[in-house]
Amino acid sequence: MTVRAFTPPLAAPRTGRHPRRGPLGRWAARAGTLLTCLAALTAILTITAPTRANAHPLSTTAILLDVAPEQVTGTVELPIDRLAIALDEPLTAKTVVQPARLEELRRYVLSHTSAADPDGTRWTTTVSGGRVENIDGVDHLVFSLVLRPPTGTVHDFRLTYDAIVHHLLSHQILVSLRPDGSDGYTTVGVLDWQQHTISVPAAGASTEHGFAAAVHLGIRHIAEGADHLLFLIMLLLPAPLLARRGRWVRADDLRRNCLRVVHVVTAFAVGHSITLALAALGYISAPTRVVESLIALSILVSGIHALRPLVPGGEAWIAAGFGLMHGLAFATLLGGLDLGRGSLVAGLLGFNLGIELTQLMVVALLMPSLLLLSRTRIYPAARRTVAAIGIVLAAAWLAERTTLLPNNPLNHVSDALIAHPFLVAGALAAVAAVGWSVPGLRTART
Amino acid sequence: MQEVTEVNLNTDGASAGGANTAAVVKAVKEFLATLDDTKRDKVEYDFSDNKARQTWSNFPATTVPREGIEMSDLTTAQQKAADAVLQVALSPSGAQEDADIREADNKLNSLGGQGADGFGSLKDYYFAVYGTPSTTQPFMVQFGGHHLARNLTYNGDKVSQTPQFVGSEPTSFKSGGTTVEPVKAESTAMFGMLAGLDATQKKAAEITSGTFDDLVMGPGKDSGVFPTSEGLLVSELTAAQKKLVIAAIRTYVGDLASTAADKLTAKYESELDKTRIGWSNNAGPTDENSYIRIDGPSVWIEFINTRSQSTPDIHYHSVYRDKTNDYGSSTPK
Repeated sequence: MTVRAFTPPLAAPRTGRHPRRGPLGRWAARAGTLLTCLAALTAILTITAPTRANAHPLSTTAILLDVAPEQVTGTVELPIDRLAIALDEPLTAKTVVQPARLEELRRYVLSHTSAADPDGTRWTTTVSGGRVENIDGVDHLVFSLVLRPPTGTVHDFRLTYDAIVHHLLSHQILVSLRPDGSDGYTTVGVLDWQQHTISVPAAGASTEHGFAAAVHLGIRHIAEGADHLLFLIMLLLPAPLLARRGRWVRADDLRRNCLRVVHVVTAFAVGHSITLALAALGYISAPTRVVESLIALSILVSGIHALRPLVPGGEAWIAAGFGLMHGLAFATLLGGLDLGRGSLVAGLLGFNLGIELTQLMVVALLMPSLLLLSRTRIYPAARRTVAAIGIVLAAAWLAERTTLLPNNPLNHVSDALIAHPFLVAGALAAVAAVGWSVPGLRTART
Repeated sequence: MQEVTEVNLNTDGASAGGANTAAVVKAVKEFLATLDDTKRDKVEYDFSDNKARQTWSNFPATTVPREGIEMSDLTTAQQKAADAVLQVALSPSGAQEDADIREADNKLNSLGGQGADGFGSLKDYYFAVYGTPSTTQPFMVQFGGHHLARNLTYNGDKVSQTPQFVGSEPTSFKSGGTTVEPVKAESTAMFGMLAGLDATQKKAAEITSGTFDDLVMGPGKDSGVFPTSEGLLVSELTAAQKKLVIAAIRTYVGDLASTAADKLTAKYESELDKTRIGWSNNAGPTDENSYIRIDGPSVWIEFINTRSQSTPDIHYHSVYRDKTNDYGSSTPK
């Protein structure tokens, strides 16, 4: 097993207390923090991602195929003790590599391996090498495999293989594929006593499928997770405002408002990415009930913050802090995704991308309305109403998740809201448009 | 990780009937009523979700991810309601076997070693409901984890309890001063059946088409295609030997609540003369790769002493299938 070297993220040397920073300096510092977090995350993923992607269940054969433009290369890993049963010979790690025996075994594997075009045109097949490798604690005989199409261009093909399984009928052969340019293997199928032939998609559609599935899962989780959506909305509510002496007041600086939205969304993303990665890699875990309760609490707190500023300008910090909790919740979901060890990083990135995309969509749907509304006299009332709804829903969740309440009577309300996201966004837009177009309601520009 | 490939489950077979469907419907509804919408969403599937219905295994869920909700995600009260469903659907010995197999997973987990992480009696055990519990429409209760799979499909008074997987690693262990042997009944009866044969019969019963280190019709083998029948015809056995075959079948079928189990055993008994028994590799109860099979027109049972990853001893894998009624396919909708 090789461990990839990594360079630790560069940290700026601390030189005593900084003088009071200007806005640019503060922004730069935050960007620096963000970059450091991302670099640390990348480093964690890099060193912990398993480099050996082909761990397979005990006693099975693994065929690992690497697709190149002109040929398919790969390895066949045969568990030696199973080979011994199938051939009814007392094979050991020592005896299999004796030259004469190895040549015999190489011919045996070759005679049980073939590849062909879908129309039956045979490819040339070569089996070479032969070394003993300990994989998952079991000695395997490993041969190199080369499959060459007669046309010289690799395309989809059919692989036929029945070494060991022709006699050891309960044996299984896992066939995995690494498409050209990809760094992970994906299982394309299992050969057994019934099925000795498998179609191999040379393009490795399944890897992309795995990534796409992860993106999709991330999208669905946010889109269907009323709690995560509500949390985001609560944080966005005060974004067009400024905290002044414990109250929210209007802020007409559009650039600043947009920046605050970016801060909130980014901080949340950084927070949940950290815990999601740590949990997915198995470093941390927390009881579901606790995590779910904390998420309900996060909505409650941010709802109250939307009513009256708890931490002036602190949405980003609230978002980052509670993002950590939400990451733990995402991790349980990620477990449901079919992530091979090799595709963990791709899965994590895909899943995260899905979450971010959906967040951005929510922002894009709601923020223009909120910005417009914030310039009308109805905004304080609208903001308080939405915040109050959030607080009530969050309180009900919290009660249910801490088992104070056996059943949540408000579940159907939140379900109905997330079932019709465009209706909700449309209604908000309509209110904003009406507020803006009625002259008496529009606030004068400062 | 392995993925389950969906197979069409409609094989148009037959069930012997006698199911206690109303009692199971009541218990399932009571269980579902304890869940909030989020959890119900995890538990409930369409009856037609064949791929999910076929997702069971003898590997831990870390290798083959299961459908449904993990028992550890349920509150104590919800777990009790889930266990109650199985207690109603299964016989006392069937329910006890489930509890013992789950405890064996705790034991295996405590032994540590390769492949023994992340499971136990609550972790890695999943509960799923397919379709709406009803006394007239088909629905299925799926429960299992590492070394256990219960797929109970009801349709009116008809029931299918297959595919059914039981296994145990270790095969025997101490718990609170008593010895627990989750799959002992099956092991004793299957090896007893084999030991009851004389030398000539035993030779005739040997399976020679190949050899085995695990089950051939285990998880993922839902094509409905079974190996060519091999072994000794039960019609050539004495009455006493036939009784041993019935006793062995009964240790599997008898996991189900009694009336349905009785009717089903009677059905298999009526097919007994067309049923074959076979063995391969070894015939000793503790030998590695001892493999025993019962293969009838409907019944299919395999038992093997497969090797262990975590202990030097063998461990048990066993599957029971009904060739004509797996997943309750007798009355497709």
